[in-house]
Amino acid sequence: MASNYLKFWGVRGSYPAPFESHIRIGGNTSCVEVRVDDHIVVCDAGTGIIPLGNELMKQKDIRELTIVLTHYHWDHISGLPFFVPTFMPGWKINVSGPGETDAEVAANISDQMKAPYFPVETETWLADIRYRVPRSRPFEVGPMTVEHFNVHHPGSTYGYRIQVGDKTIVYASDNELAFINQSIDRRKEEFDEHERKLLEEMKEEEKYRFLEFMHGVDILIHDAQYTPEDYEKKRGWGHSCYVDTVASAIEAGVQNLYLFHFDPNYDDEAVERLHAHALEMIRERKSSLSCHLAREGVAIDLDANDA
Amino acid sequence: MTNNNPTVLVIDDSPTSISLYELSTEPLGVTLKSFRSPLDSLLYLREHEADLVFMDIIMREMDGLTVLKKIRDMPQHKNTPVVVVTSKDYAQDRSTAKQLGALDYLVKPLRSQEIREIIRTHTHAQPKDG
Repeated sequence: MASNYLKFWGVRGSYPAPFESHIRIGGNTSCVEVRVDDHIVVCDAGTGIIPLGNELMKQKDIRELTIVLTHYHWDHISGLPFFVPTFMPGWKINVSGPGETDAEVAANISDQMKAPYFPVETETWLADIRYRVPRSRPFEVGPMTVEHFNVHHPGSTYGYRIQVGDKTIVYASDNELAFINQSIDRRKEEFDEHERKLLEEMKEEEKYRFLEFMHGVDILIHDAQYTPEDYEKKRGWGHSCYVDTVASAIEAGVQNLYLFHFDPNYDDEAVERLHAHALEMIRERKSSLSCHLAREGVAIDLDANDA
Repeated sequence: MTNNNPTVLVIDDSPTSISLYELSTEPLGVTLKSFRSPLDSLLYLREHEADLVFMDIIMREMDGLTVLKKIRDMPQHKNTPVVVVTSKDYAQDRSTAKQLGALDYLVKPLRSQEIREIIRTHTHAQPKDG
């Protein structure tokens, strides 16, 4: 494997999907590793972080990593209680996530490891664990610069922008695109002409607010949980329809889009069907966007020219 | 001459939303203070009263529910009326807003008339010519 890479350890949303019918895409929940010069940023700690931890225990060179959490829903933290490096002395693990204080981040993590829900508490972790609320300024992890932004999902939820040399990676696992546009369209007839004009401007403004964070990025990993049919039923659940994700990535001039956070009810064929449609959309719009499915176990070489 | 108009604060980083509040309050006798920067709004509120606050949630600098927590941490604003107006329509955010004492939680877009009704319900604002 390349020495500088991004690897998908978990690509599912909501809950794990350990089924034979889901094996080509993968069943673990959200976890993406970005490794550069032996510095590691782990985006989210869903069940995918468990096999990552097991891999890390096989080597001796790295003893520190930084976990950045988008939020504290189960599919983003439920792997942490089984992440072996936390239990090992000599490891240093930095954990960042939404919150007002560092103590709040710590509490959000430790609360899932309490009786009667779990047999051991975070007090049994022997690693040096540092909790930290990302400040408004970006922070550095070795050669990587990490910055957070607010996204459209229940509660305080972040996306992360990681700069590595001249490459930009954006991770937005849970983000409902196009929600306000639909809200405006649904009430359009109730507004007078002047208000309608303002609302059209508001739609543009909201669109650019979200395009801003993905503008021109090399690698965008973005929520693509639903088909249009399912999105109609689950509008307001905090996730995107893949059609909106692809359309936004095209408009933002993204180089490589990785569709992510798949609904656990979708088997391999269903996910591959939505990918086929995404590619069709891209061809029809004559876009140069390269669109992929995030598949568990797949690594992207960050030194490759097309990454 | 003393200005007895109620002060309505808007905290929203969307210029179009602020324009909508300006349009809505134009016929009312209110003093509208709008802030695209939540941090600037907090600095203002440290020194000033407000009769009603409209608050967005998704903002670049700081999310609105965090801003609301910080407002409630100021003793003089423990009971300042705050209405959350946002594009987020999630039970979790509604519940947090309620716990922080928000008067209401409304999903964008609002009509000018609706904004005026909220202001007149929660302040003594009167039409300019009334």
